[in-house]
Amino acid sequence: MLFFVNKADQRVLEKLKLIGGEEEKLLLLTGDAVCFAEEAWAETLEDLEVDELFAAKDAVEARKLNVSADCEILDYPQMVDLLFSGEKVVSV
Amino acid sequence: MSKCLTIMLLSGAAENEDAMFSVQLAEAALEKGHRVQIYLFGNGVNLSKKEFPIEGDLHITPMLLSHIEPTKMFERLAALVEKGADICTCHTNEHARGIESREYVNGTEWGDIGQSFCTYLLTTDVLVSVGH
Repeated sequence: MLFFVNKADQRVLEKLKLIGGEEEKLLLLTGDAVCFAEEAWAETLEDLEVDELFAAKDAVEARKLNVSADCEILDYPQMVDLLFSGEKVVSV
Repeated sequence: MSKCLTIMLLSGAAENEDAMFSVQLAEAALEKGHRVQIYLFGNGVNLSKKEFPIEGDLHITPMLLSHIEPTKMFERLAALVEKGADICTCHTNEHARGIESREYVNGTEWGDIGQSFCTYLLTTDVLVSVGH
């Protein structure tokens, strides 16, 4: 299950476990939500059982963030590929 | 294999990055040969209307103007339609904002939840809702 998150609100993240249950969880962060890709949030995402983490390249670069080592940075074509990768997409 | 991406955009211009993100995602999908449908909802419907250019002194500094202008999506939405995207609005949301009678950006169309959006849902592979 691929979660699309564009809001820097922790309450949004808390829905991942509620919605995703035991399913594998992929998280695509865009806009202000890319702050969750920083190392400081790694433990939170682990608690939420996020299996794969992605962040939008332009949003990360605009904010000059240092994302965690587990986060894969994607440009727009790559985000398209991810969205079409067969996962159920949930916008939160 | 070509697939269909539907974006429901709820934000208008200069609110946040949603419109810019949606347009760029749509451009990338079209470039890859996929189909794109965009449903403009909520404040997103503001993007569907042609701009009334203002004449004379804008009373906006050039620096601020250079920041604002790229966030206007009117021409980029029209360009998406030229590349094959299907873009329509929720006319009820237009009506709520007093803009229903204004002229549409080239290629964007009047729409509704019951038919337009449902048709998008029935024909899409992926739906992404972009809003705040």
